[in-house]
Amino acid sequence: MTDDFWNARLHVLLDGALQVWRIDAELTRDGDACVLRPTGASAPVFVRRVTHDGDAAYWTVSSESDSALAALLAQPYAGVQGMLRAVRDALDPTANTQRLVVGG
Amino acid sequence: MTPVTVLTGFLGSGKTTLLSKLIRHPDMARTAVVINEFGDVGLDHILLESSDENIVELNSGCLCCTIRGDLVVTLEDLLARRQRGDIMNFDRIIIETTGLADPVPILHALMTDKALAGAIRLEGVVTTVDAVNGAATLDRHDESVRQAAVADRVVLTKTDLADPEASNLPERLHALNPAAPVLPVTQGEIDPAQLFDAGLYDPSAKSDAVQDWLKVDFTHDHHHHDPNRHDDSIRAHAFTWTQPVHAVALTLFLEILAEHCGPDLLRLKGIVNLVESPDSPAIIHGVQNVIHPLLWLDAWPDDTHDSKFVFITKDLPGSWFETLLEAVNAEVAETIARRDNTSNLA
Repeated sequence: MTDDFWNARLHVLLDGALQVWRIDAELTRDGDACVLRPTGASAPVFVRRVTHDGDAAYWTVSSESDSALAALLAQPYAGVQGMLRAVRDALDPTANTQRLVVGG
Repeated sequence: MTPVTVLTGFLGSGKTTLLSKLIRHPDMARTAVVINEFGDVGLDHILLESSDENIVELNSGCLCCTIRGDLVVTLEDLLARRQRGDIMNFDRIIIETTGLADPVPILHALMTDKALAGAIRLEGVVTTVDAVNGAATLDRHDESVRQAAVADRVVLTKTDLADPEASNLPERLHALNPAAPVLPVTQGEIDPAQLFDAGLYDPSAKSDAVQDWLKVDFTHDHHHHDPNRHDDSIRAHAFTWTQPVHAVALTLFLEILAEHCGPDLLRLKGIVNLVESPDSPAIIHGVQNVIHPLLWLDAWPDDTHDSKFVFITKDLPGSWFETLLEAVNAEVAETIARRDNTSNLA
């Protein structure tokens, strides 16, 4: 998938996630990042999909506006699942979480 | 495994009348009934006009709130007494909830309790809605909306007393839960075959049964906006997915739904075309963060091998599910392609 695919999808994905989490935040784009600015909070959250030729892509979730610095400092997340969890934890650290249960 | 059906419906909607008629039907002779009532003195067992030993009351509270543990113990006890031959053998259990019960936690308990696993299977939810007060009850009581939203069959009662069309009730129920047939009855008279074997999809059923199970118009969200109504927050969402889904992607998708949507995902149903099993579609079924183990069909029910998903949710954006599946599946496909390229280079 191209970066264009992911840039477009990431915005839609995060926009929906904010509704799912019931978090009031402004969602904008800044270069290669999606930026979430929760109402009443000072620190924005930058979400990026980082790709390097020949390597697997990964996600970063950080408060860094600089892409290279974020890639250096932020913990990488291999998949959408980890990225979404990290974004929600950043926006709402007290959120209750559940795990999938395979029932009878 | 003994099938368990949850019979729910708001106060005065005709649950006990329906149950009373059902248990007298010859086809229902081997049925155990668990009745949940508020208060220390229950009346429903008297209204059932039966002294059947297979009827058990739970009066210490509401199943959905405080006594889910009691329900599990009661079911275990019923199964043990049957095993010992202390009571008449039965091959079906009906649980009648209180009129104020939210059925979702009850379904959750039935699907997750380790002691009951392997002994029972959740068969489905039957919800009574009465033609006289049903529309007003949906307006005023969130519980009644949830009862209708998670039903596999909606029984429209008291149709001899009021025309449900006058209050737009059938259309409203269909908007809330398009997959559930709405069955009009008077005085609780209905063929049991119309109510049972309805919920957890049975892969041994006729192939076209899966179409009924997922009977939804997949072209739009089933939602009519009216901010004054309780059912405004509960919606049915459905989408069709034409690409095969990687099994890993489906697992990740379900994990993300459980983690982020848990309590607001009232029910999930689907038939899925997996990359790893193109000829045998998988059936998924879930309540909140609990997913039933995948079931497999021997073949597709028709020529279109598209995956179909149905969600009943509270205040969740329907388009997000499709976006999420697209992202997760694309990511898994990308990873697999990268792995394959690496293997080829090596």
